[in-house]
Amino acid sequence: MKTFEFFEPKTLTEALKMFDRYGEKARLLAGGTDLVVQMKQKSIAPDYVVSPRFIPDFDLLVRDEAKGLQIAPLVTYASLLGSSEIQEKYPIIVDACLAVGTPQIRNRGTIVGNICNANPAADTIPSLIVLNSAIQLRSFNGERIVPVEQFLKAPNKTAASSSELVTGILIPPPRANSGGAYFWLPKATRVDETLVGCAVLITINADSLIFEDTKIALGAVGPTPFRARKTENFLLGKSGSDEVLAEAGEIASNESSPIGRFNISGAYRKKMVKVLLNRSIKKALERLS
Amino acid sequence: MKKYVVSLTVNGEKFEILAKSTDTLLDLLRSNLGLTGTKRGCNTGECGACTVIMDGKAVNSCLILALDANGRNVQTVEGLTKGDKLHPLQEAFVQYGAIQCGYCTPGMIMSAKALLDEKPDPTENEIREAISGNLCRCTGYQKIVIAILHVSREGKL
Amino acid sequence: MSDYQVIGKNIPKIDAKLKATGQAQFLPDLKLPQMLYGKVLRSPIAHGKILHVNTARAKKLIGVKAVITGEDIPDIPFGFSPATANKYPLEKKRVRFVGDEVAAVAAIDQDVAEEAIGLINVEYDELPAIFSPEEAMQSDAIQIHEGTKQNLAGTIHREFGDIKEAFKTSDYIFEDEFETQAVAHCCLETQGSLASFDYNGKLTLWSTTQFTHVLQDMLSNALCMPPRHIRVIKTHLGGGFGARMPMDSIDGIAAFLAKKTFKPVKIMNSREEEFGTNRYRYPMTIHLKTGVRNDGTFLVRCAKIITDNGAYYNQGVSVTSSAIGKLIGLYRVSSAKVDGYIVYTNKSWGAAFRGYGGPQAHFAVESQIDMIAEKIRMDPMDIRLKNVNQRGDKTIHGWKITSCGFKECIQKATKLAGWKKKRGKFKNRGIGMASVIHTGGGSRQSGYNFSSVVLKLKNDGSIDLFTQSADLGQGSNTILGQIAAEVLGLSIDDINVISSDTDLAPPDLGARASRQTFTTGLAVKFAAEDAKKQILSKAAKALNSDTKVLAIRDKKIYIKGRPRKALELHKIASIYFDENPIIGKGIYIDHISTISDPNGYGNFAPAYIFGCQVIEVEVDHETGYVKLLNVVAAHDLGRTINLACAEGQIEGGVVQGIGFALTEKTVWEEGEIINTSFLGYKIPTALDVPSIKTILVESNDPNGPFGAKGLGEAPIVPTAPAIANAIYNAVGVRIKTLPITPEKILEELEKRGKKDGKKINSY
Repeated sequence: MKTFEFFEPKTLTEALKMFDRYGEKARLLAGGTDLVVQMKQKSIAPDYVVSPRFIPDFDLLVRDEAKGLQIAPLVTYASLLGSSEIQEKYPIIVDACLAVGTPQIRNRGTIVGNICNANPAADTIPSLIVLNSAIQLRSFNGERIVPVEQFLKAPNKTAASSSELVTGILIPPPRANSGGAYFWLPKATRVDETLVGCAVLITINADSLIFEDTKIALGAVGPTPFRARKTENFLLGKSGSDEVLAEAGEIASNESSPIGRFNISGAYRKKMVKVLLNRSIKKALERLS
Repeated sequence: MKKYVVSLTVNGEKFEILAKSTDTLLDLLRSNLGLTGTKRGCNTGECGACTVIMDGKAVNSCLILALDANGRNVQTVEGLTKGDKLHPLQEAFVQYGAIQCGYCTPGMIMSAKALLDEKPDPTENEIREAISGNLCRCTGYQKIVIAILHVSREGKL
Repeated sequence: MSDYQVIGKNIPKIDAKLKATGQAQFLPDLKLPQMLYGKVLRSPIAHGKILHVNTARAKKLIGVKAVITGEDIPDIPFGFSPATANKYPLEKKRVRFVGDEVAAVAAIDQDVAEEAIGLINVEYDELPAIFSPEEAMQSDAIQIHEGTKQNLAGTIHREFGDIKEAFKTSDYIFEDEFETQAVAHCCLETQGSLASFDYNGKLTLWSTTQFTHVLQDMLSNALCMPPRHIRVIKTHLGGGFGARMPMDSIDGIAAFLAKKTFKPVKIMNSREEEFGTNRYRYPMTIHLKTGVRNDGTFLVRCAKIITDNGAYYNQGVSVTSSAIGKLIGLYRVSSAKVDGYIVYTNKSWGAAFRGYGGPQAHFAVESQIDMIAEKIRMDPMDIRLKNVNQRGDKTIHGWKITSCGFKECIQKATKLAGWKKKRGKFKNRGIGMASVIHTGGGSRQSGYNFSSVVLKLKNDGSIDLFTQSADLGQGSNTILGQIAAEVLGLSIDDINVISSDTDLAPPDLGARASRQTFTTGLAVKFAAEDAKKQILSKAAKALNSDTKVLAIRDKKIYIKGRPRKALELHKIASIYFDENPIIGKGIYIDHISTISDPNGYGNFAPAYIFGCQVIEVEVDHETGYVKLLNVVAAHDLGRTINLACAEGQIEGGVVQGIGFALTEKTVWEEGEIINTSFLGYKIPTALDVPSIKTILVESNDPNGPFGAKGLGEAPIVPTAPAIANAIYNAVGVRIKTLPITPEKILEELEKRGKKDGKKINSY
């Protein structure tokens, strides 16, 4: 690792001032499960590392019936998994967190860190997309809210400028008659990089049982996780029959552009999009509230 | 190179250590405190050999910056013994043949302890999940799972 | 029902408490005063001439105490046999793989060492590189080692019986090609070396070696120093599996740096170096042609094996020879012809890996046997039982089977696994089996076939046992201690085992070919019996009796039939200690050191072990992912010395076999290994493996200590073909290349689906 100066600001304003001043040369340390690895491998070499550990409310998980969920930057996967409210109201987030790494990683890693790292195979991002999440950004000079889809720009690149910090993920309250699920396939062993990830959020009409709204996001099969809009449009107004799901899977597969890696071909990954779409929709329908 | 003072509690004892910014908690434990029980297996948080319990949670100490360990409470495998008496988990690992080369053992025991501290009566699957971040190349995990199950069921050996 | 006090019991390993508490010192835990840290500069290219190495800037860096290149070391390559050695600790003229060692530094800390490496400039004249054996064998291919035609490190030709006739009389002939991949040992502790020279000219080297004695010899050659000036010590070792056999470049490099600086120098591979530049199991392509009668009798087995040796001579020829032996020896077969070609390529060099050619050979033979069974409509269990090796057999290539639990292994494993009930009964679920033949007492391949042990009786009636054998975690120290304890009527707590230190213990080869229980075990037994003779002789005097009527049990010497008249062992030791200390010496010499017949005919090992594994799987026919449901592993080990150790070897071996079968593969791109972390190279975690049921079969070898044979390597061998056979039983798909990935399974399922006119993946 390259040596760096370490700061532990006591307020958000203090932290924002640092990023305003140091910009590209600074990095925020959340769980460190991505950042420390990258610093060791020298793919990132910040001059300044800022820990927000002592900033009030930076580890808060807040749920409000009306406003929904607000996840602060230091909320770990473990605390999300341990929240009975998340388990009950947002099982798709549970799916996503369970897909991430090992217990040790989940005890330190944060969902905000996952999205800021913006790995194309990141497990939480497809779920955040279908949940219509928004990213709260603050800089010394202001704040803005960016829908999560627009937050992802390219592999490992987000819309945050070097002087901005993500201060929260905002997730709207669950809709009635909705169910969501995230399915994923590992590369080889159970604890592994994700080969293909598929998140769906389905809202059906309570009477006719047809799809009223569908959100589908695919991970690890494109430069960034993305909405499979053609698939979504196809499903609107249809029922969840086997034939419909089969065709939807075909469309989703064609929307994706996975590359071959580690002796696993892009063609295989495309096929798995079909399989996972099918399975995640079925699960989402089971979970309809 | 600039050094920082890191204060932390390790196995119930308070320490003040002069650390470089590039040190990790694993470096502090092994090099500064001579607690070589915690092992370095990969240095990038993938093998679990460096697992310790920090503020009650099992973590990869190779991924914790030393400076981020300031003010924390850390427990390592050395902290499990009381005098010459082994912790029930250590005793079970010995008695049930759960140790072969022993390199993964400290990290494995700490993950097991973190599990039992939170969930004293886990299922076999929950045990396997809890140690899924600890790689073992020797044992096939079989006797490790048995040892942990016995401690959870017997409360002791 | 055994009568033994210590043998066969479930005794905790003598080092287990040290390891459970973190007290056991491994090489990375050792720190010596003024110790320096070494780092190696490795070639970034796969093949090239070294034109110039500029170390000036590195030498000037503050904190750097020494920088060495190939020019600074003797022109002596190292290797198991000086005749074939062609690897230098630091290359001077050419680099032959990405990662080849070119220079090294010793500095005050790791950071300075790494910085210094970055300051060394090397000018290469890059040469064309070859990455596949087929390409390397072409007549116009560049010679990786000058003068080596077709890049052949060696060729092996074996022929037994009349194969022409055998094929003529075969009712069926099967011809298939199988491929196995390079896999990494993944020891949790990486390779390392700590060298220290003193002003008496003595080198002490702590190494992650499995062979202290041989390493001492090899270092003596490489450093031009007599063995008496070299002490090699193995500390607690974080895994071996053949990776540490016996010398690595960094052993030599650490020694040279220590000699130059007169300070201790420690070099440890990073995990990235370990994956990227270190050893692996030799990949093989096996073309297998088998002729059988329609009643399932194996008539002839022919094979062509191409082994990808990597850049330097190590164990490629030896492993291939061993693979050939097993390919011919597995089951009774009337004739065989095998040709092996071991080929240099510009990749890091391979090494021994648990099973030593067995995993590769068995994958081919055992997969094909199921294909044969299906064709001739025989149950795979029955065709194996029909041809099973039995006690008293002499194979066509001269292997004498002195003890054999093969049949019992097959019968017990299939019964416990519910073979008949489960075979072909469930959709997408299948059950498969495979077996193993392996050496159970070392092999007669490369000499060093002896073991020597010394033990001394102490004042309190306990003993110190000195052995050069290597405990890698498999528990050999405990097992050897148990053997001594049994002979001398002691408990394991009375045995202090001192091992793997060339200054302290008499010579022994080390951990290889599953030899230590048998070979070193016999030496321990002889040493204990020698001590026992002396003890009884003194006791006879004290008891006014005759040695013939005395026995030792529970630390007492007593007259048989009159247990009350006993003398405590420690009294023998203390009364006579000053007068005549009791020192037991045991030497086991295998009367055959190597097989000298040019056709390889001969008894390859003093004992053979057998086993059978039955594995149940479930295949997700939409994704191709395989879930392991059950594993039953029955292994013949002669006699169980330590129950938990034996079971542990089986369980651990099976899980390594699962990785070999399904998830592990070292991947090269243009000669560079690209999966250099546990993220890119996946070994099974606790979530990937089912419970494993073990069955120990005791065939009571007439020559082994208390009837025991080795065990350590066999368990990894049948797992991959058993899984392949189970997958076939589940979904009718036969994969002949390892690892069996979901993509391969799905591809075959789709092909089959199209052929049948049925769409397999329909929703």
